[in-house]
Amino acid sequence: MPSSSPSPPLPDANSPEAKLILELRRGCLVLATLSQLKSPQYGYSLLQELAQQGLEVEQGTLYPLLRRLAKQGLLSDEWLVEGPRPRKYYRLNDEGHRVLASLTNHWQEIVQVMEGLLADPAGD
Amino acid sequence: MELIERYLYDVGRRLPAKQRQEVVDELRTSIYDALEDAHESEGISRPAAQGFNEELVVGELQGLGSPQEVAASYFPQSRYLIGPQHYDQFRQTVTWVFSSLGAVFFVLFCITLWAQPLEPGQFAGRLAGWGWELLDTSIFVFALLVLIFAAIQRLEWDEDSAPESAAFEGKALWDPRDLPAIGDLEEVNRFGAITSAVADLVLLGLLARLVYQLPELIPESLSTLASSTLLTPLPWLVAALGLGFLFHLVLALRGKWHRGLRLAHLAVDLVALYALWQVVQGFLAHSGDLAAVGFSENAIRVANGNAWMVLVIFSAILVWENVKHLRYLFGGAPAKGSSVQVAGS
Repeated sequence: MPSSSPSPPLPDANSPEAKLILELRRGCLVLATLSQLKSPQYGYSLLQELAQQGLEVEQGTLYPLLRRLAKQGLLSDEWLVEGPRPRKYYRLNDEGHRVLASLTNHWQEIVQVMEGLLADPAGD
Repeated sequence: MELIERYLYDVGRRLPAKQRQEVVDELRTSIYDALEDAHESEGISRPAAQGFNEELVVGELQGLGSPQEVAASYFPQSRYLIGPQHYDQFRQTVTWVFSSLGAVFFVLFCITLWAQPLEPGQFAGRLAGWGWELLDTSIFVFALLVLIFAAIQRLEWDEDSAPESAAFEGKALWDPRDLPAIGDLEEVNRFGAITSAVADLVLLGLLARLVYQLPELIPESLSTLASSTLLTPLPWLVAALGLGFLFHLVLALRGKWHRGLRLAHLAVDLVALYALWQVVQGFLAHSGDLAAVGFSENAIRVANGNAWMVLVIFSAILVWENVKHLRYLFGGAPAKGSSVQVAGS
């Protein structure tokens, strides 16, 4: 999968701007994760998949998120021995598919609204 | 590689037993996957018999975050009064503050004994007074410490510190080479066990002395109260301390927790709780007798309240101490093998 254009560099981590950017990106992480779990993925392969698409996520962030989504009943998981070591694979279950579809619809609505707002000359 | 295992051990010991093994296994796989990739991308050859390049391991673990941070990321922080990232400091602070408090009280008690020699029959009253004072102060100080740490945790817990945001934040630099050596989570703290056994023995001795000297220490008007508070529950008090002594001795000798010892720990604590229950009930039944030695009605009410408080605090400590044992006995770590399948099978 080709990489998308790299994100602009983050400003100083303590600045208000950086915090707002963090909030913005945090909101996307659950949807981004769910979107890549239509087929089974283990944590590290998912990290790489997201990174290839331009979303850098750290392991210490993704693994707790995967556990949380599994606990919420959106993902099923199982350990598989493939290669030198066992790996825990996650994939969307029926409820996860339903929630992904719902979140995707909401996301598209938000994007549409936001594009309108950002393009509106009255907002200048 | 040892550094990775030390890291995983340090993360694991901060997690609840129920999810520890699975989280650690998943992290281990992920770290090894990442390191293999890192070696490939750096062009560092790694014969199968050799370990990973130490600099790359250090970099990988630093990128992952300190064990406190990683363990904390598995907890929604709002669920915990004091989360894993502050728990070590909290324990250190509590130990330091209470050691100091105990020492200060002991010194002050000795000074007052020296400055104001006791009349016969006053010792028990003076000791009890200091005991209540120490208890009240301890409760207040403990509550204050909990509040301070809970406030620190809440103040740090703003939107930006949610686990998902860490994806885009820099990690504080720390050196994985400073991680503690791997310990055994089942290993018994022998020093603690021996100290507890000695404390049980000392308390048994003090109890015997107290019972022997009771008629000299307690005024006649309080003999019924003393009898119901101390003599009626005496068999249970002796049983609790004696069993506690034997248990801590066996614990120190065995050196490792196992199912039988966990059950024994629970049983000894329940006997101790029942003994204390009898003491408190005995006190409450005749606390009105304190009026005969000058206690006001209000002071007696306060004393009754304190007696209940002692029982509640002891029960809370008992629950706190036994939760981990109950988890092992009835929860246990997930059996990883049962959920592992071989791809293609």
